[in-house]
Amino acid sequence: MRKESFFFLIIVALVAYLTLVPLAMLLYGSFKSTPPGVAGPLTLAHYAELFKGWEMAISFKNSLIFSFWSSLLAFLGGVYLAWMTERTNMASKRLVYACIVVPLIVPGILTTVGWIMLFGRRTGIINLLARNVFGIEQPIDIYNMPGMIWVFGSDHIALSFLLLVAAFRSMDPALEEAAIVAGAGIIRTTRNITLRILLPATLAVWIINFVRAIENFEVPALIGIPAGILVFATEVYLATHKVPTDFGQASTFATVYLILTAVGVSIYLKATAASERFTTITGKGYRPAAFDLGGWKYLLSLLTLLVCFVIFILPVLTVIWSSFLPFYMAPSLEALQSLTLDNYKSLYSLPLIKRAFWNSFILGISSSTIVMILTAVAAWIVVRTRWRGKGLLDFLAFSPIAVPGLVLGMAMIWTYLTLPIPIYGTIWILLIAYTIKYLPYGMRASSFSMHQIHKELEEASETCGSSWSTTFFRIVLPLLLPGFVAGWIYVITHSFRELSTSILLYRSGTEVLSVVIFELWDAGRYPELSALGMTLVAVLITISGLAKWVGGRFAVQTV
Amino acid sequence: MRKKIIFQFILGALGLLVILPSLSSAKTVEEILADINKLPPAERNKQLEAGAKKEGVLKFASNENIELITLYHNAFAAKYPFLKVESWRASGAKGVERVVMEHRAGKLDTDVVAVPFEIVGYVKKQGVWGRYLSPELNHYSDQFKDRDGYWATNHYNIAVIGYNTNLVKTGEAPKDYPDLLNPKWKGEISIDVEPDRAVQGWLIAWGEERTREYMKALMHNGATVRRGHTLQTQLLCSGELKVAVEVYAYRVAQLRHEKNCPLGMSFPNPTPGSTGSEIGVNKNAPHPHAAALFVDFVLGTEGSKILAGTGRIPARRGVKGLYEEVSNLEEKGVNLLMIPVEQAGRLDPLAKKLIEEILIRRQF
Repeated sequence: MRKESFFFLIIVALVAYLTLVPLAMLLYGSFKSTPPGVAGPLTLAHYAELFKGWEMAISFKNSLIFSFWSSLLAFLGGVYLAWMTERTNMASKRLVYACIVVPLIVPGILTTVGWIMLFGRRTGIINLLARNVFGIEQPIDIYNMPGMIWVFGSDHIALSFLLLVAAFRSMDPALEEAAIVAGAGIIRTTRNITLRILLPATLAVWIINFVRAIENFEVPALIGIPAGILVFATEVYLATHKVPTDFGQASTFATVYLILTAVGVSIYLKATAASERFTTITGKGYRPAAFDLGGWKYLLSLLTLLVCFVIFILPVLTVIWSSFLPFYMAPSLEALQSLTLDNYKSLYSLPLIKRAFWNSFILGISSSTIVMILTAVAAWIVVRTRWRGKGLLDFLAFSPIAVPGLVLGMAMIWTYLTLPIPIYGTIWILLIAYTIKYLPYGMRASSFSMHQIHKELEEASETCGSSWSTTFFRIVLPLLLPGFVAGWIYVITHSFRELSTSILLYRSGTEVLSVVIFELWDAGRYPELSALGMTLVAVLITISGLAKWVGGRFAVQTV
Repeated sequence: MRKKIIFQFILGALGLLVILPSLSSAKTVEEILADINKLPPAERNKQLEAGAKKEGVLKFASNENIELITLYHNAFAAKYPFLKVESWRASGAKGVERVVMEHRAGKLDTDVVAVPFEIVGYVKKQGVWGRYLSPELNHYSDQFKDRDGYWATNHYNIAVIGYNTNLVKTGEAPKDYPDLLNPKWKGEISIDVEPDRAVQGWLIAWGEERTREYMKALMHNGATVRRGHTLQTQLLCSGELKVAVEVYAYRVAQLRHEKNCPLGMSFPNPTPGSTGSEIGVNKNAPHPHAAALFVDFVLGTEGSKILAGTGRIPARRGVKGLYEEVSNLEEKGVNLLMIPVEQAGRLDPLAKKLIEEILIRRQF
């Protein structure tokens, strides 16, 4: 056996171990008539239950509507911002980048809370403005489907932007230039050339947003339940929030998630099948040209900045504001007099806060690094080699996206309570869980960057006599670095927010921040929650800034 | 011949496997604690402390909020500095299921487990707790302790109708649940997504049909469903909400006193109440002596005073609550309906079903 094949097998075995265990537990659980740890016959009853009433059909329909429109909003917003900042001569691009960082770092639960406060019936700024300035009597309600779509979609524009910007930045502009020379306008060139070249990247971004919307819990819980709109995620919540928990039903829902995702992945794989057509980074030097917006430059720039401020900054400002108040109040003289640091003081008097920060930090750094290294290698195997098992590897690495955190947590508990591997109750079980959970995101970030690097650079290295490992570490990895760093930042920021799995696996001594955030949310202590959220944001901004700086120093410099 | 020897060997080994455990004199947690309870008080405490010193560790899990867990944790660790105290919050169904899964796998190393009132029956049935009759139980009336000795609680919780006094004048405030159906409250009522106490109280007082009709009528009157009792109390305080169907009496009193909130509360007829978090010793606790010390501490005067300091209503005789307006309610003529723990366990599936059908799925 060739040395490379042996190495590939090890990678597949590792990814398979990480991903198949929860998947197997999931499938097994969906056919089991009794909870984990209790012997009982297998059954199809949970699946039969799924198709029994209209309730599930309604939730299914709501899930599709919510996910389709919110992912579309996120996607279109991301495309617009990426295009404006990377391919036009708009002014103040740096301000847009600064705004974009905010929603990437602020946990979704806080943004959702921020929007709810903004749309408060009597105390929300938006409704106060609507009533006092525009004379609208009927309050604008956020508790409906458009409200859900808005909150999720707007929060995910930043993710779309992050994933698209690298592709926009590194795209070979030869075809665009040819189109412009041939007399096509900006819009036609963007539609017919730019977006088509970037098809796999854009499709993948849309799919990721769609899947994230399907599995999102915060928005359906905080806005959907009060609105009476149930989605798939709420069904899982309903199946798991009662005692005894209906594990079978929860696993069945998760299996349906898996099927939905598998459909998404197959569309994605088809779109990227002829990846060569979309190669954007080649051995040639180039300088992407920026379209001239002409007379529209300043108006469009101003509008873009205004939109960024309202979408990304305003909800967070609301949360910051409430972190200094004893309870939420709209800005007023009375509120100004009530400003206090009490929330921060009471929060930091809890001894577990320091421990939770430390644990989250260690877990975040380790899981993001492991995920990105593992997926960089896996993506290389999938994109570059003709190895027979590569399809399996791609599917395995993407499959955890379909496993809801709660089910993953249950599977991890049961696996490590049963297997003679002594990590139950330690931080290691959390590290494994985080690695599994973020493999799909690492894989997408790595494989998308890999698609854009032409083989010719590696072939040149091999022609010069370099070994596989030399080529990988000296050529592939530095070229991948911008995507690698983006993926790393994505994983670390999300690992700090990971809740549904951590809540089941943490113990005294291994508490993480998201658990503390949840406890505060659960207890309705929004002011303290806001205070903790703001501290977390400050920490994550520092980490991301450092990562970008490090990435910038070691990445291949663009010409 | 060889086969016969092998067969005899296997038979012998099996016999040893059966006999050995019964030869060992290891006592169960229940036996250890029952033996200690036979001693005179001073000797009993001495033995408990000596045993706990040898064990060196106490692990507890509770559904109480993180603030109260921290207070118990710190005070207990200060009282018994030789113990390394570890605590974690077993919140909601997930926390309880995790405890039960660990118990089934024989790996529950948490010595003391406390759960919410409606889940007590399930945890007891799963055999998580062992019997332990703390001497502190003598200071509690029967409704706060298990007759079989598996659990006890040191407080209770009252659910009231809350309102904002700036938006609702006291004379016009809803006094009882039927008042909330008045069209003047249309769109102004908030109800928690988990109003367990209120729904169980209605089920006991009114029966299933009337409860179902009432909940439907409430939703027809535009009630909005929100998560979090404390949050709703804060929203009442800020003026975002006018009226809330089920908030905790002690929270209303607390925000009124500590943050000068314009809050009022009505005690409906009957006013539903439940016991607080129920505490018990793990049947297989690795540190039984420390576990007993901790349960004694929580149920004792010190634990009760810590609890009362947070505004909650203590159940222990002789320990006063912090806020007068939510203490001695029966003496003030409030028709208090304390939901018995056993009944709560039986009513829980029906209550959850009604909540899901009407409040969440909006089938009305």
